[in-house]
Amino acid sequence: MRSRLSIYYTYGIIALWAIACLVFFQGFYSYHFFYKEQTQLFLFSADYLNTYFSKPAWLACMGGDFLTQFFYYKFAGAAILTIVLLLLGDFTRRSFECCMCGRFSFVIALVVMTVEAVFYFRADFRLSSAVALIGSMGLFLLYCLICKEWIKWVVAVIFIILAYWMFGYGCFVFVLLVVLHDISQPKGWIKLALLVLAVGFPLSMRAHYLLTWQTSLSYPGLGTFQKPNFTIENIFALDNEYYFGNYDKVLKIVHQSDKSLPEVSYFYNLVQARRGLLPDSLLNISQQAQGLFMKLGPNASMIDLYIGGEVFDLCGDMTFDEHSAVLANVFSSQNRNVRMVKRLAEVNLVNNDTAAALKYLRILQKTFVYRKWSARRMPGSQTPAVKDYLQQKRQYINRLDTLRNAGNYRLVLAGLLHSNPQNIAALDYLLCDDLLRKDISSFKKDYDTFFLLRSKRLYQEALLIYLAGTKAKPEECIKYHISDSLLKEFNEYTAIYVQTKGNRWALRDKFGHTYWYYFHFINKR
Amino acid sequence: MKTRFYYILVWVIGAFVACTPRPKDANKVSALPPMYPDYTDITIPYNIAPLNFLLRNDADAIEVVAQCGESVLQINKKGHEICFPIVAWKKFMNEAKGKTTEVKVSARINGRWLQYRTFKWQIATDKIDPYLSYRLIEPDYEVWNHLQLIERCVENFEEHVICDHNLVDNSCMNCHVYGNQDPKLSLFYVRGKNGGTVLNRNGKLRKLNIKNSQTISAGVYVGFHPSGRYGVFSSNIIIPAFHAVDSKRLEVYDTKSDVFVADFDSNTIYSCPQLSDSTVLETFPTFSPDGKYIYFCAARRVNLPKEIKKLKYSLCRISFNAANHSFGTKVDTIYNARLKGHSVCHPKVSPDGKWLVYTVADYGTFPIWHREADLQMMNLQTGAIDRLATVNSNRSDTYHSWSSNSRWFVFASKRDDGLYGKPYFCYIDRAGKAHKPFVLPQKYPAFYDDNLKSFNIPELSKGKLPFNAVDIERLMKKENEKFK
Repeated sequence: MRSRLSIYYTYGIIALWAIACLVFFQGFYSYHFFYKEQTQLFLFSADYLNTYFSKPAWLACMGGDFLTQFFYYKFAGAAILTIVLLLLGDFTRRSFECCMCGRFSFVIALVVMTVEAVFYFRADFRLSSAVALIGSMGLFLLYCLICKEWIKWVVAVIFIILAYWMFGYGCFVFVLLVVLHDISQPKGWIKLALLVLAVGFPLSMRAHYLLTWQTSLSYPGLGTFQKPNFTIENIFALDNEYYFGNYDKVLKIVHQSDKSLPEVSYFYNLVQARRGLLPDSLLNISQQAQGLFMKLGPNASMIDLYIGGEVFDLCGDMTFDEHSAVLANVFSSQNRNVRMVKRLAEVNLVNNDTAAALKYLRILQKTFVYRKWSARRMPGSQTPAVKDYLQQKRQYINRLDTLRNAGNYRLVLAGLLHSNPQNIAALDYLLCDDLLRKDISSFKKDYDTFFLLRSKRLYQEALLIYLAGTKAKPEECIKYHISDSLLKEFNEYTAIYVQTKGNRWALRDKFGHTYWYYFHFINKR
Repeated sequence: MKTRFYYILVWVIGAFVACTPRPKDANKVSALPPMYPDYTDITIPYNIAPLNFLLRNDADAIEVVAQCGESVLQINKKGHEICFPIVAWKKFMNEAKGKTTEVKVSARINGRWLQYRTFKWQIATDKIDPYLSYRLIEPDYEVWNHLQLIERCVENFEEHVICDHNLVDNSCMNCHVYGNQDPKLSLFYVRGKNGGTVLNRNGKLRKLNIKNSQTISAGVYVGFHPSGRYGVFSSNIIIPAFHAVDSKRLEVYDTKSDVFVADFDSNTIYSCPQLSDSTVLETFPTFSPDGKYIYFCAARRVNLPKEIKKLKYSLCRISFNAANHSFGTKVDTIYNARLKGHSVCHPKVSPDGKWLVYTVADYGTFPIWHREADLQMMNLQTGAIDRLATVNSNRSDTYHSWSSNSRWFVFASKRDDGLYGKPYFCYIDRAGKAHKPFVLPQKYPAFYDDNLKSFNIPELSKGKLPFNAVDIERLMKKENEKFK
């Protein structure tokens, strides 16, 4: 009766643990899975699969990456992770039961599962780690089936080598289990020899696998303890919803987020620019002093590289769109990133560079998830929706050749506007970027060059600063269609500013959302 | 027992043979097979690795028959890829050496066999140097991560890593170049905190800081003197910038550049006013095979980046005396950019001193993204220029390196997709005629489809390098040797 009760308790705890894991990762951390999936590229091709053999733990890495590709699907990430962790727990329990730790095996399994789950809080932690543990414990369970002592030791040696080859650092787990399993037996020197082999073999293979000694002992990667990072989860949520075109949801997430994060305002601006409302809403949230772009380059964070190209995609600069995709690709795991391969295919389709587009579409045809996506875009068999999309994108591409440095976004946007003055997204990005950087003279120049009778209050507020600063004549205000009411408001703002000697609190309530207030008080240098 | 074993073996082999698809009532078509890589009607060295390929159609079975007199190489495979067994390939190549082979490809598509127009492989008796080194890098060049320098044996599919990102702290590394195609004389740079110029001379590795107070940067482009004692370097201030329109993508230009010679025996740098004129940009230096001349490219400085299209490099030459490391006083212009309207890059003289191959582009010093960039070959005895029409493509064809017998050169071409540079081999026959080039064969025919890296600066060599990536890891821990 007691034993049956204990089984019920055991299953009950496991079920509760699984539900908690599933609920947490699906309910609070699911966007991490999408990021993990997007920043890898798993191909069903002999050539690609062969690359796994260039490093240890080929089976763990292949298995982990194979499973990760399904994280694309809703609920799959949390479900796969929970199943893998349950499997890990089961293998741990069985392994420790074999090691005469039957009484504690369940607790140990729970601890291992929980620790491994905690490791998944990190965005770049890969599933291969859990597969490595499962694999090495699987080998240990096979080892336990052997009865003859001398065969056991020979098999142990073979399995250490196999474990490293297939499961990387899993060979240490295997050896530790073997030592624990045979702890009561004599011939301690054999166990010592096995431990030495488990350390020595990876180190001896270092030159073959071209790894540093630390990496050779920890491949495919050890986890680290950290708290769940909900800030990053939030950025992934913004990215995900923006990627799938759920713009209302992006704005909803923005309003629930820490608005001081550059990534939050970045997505907010993207959505507003897409709707033609960037100048109307620019100052509704906290903005970055350096402007509207993510800083891209070798020193940027992977997340910024991952999202940084969206602005070029929106404005239509295909060179920088492609460049930022290559950047994100280069800094992804194994220099492969499925999102960026898709982006590269699209950029080249927009540019009518069929040969280049085919390069990426052929790669995507070898994936499980994006095969159909690729087929719909194959030159010659594109669907009407794809054709419309490409045609629309082609309207905005650059037609005038200039040379631009990587950080000179003004030149990028100006080039787009010279090619197509109707590119409202590029226009708003150019003018708003000038304004956020408080570069009023560049703003005035760009406004005069590109402005298309786009009557936006934000721009007129900024023009008033310029006109006041240059002591312009009243006719100038008429030229820019500045209304009397706005002029009146500006005069009122100026009067209070002078009267209170620039006291922001006196101005905040009435003028907190004006550009004048931003210019004087926000993002002060 | 034994009889039973043989019975089973024969049965298994019989079943396997019966399952191998063979053409039946094949329809002959006039088109060449849609094969990738394009290995139709090419000249190949007898020592090349198997030319594995795939068909870009829905073939579910292929037969390939290569016939040269009595010698036949036949392979039947399911699927749309063909990988030749290396032993049979080698045997066939040795038998067909110096002859022309007819290759017949048949494919089964939707249950029907098609036999494509036959094509030829001319098997040259002139061997190609068996080793090729290159850098694998994403074709953006402005950024890097996980770089590798690779040495590949072109006679089979073996490759080994010369320098690996894991072992040099993920530092940037520049391309590896040989002197005299000799594996015991080569050089490359590892950048970053512990970086330096890695010199492999007579099998001994040294880490050098080839820079003094006069040079404007550390060495960039390099060529070896035939003695191995000297290297001629360019020092450049390099600026990357992006084109706004689709095809050219990245432009790299120099705001300053000079040429100098470094003596590896005395760790001394030598230069002359003709190679370090502040009004002229000098770059891409290389020695003539007799070591008596330095060929280099030079352009008058213009206002950059505004006038980038006016930046055109001429091909020049200055004499060099290795005995007293002195330079000539006169600079000869071999190819005048102003008159010809093009810009010259990457000149290299064939080891027999007969030919000079270089890249021409409309302008600038970075032809990698210039679609119009082509190779040209100058006969150094007559000055006649061959535009290498059979060699060039409508995409960028650039950087080349000669085989030690001057019969082959390898070059980087973006002809397939316009993005990723791949090494192509070209045969120059005894009459100086260039033959249709072919891409470096790979073990997996789909390799180039899946690969996301460019083969940068391919260089041929007579033998295997005497060092590996771990040797470079150790070397990087040493101090740099300084130059004066």
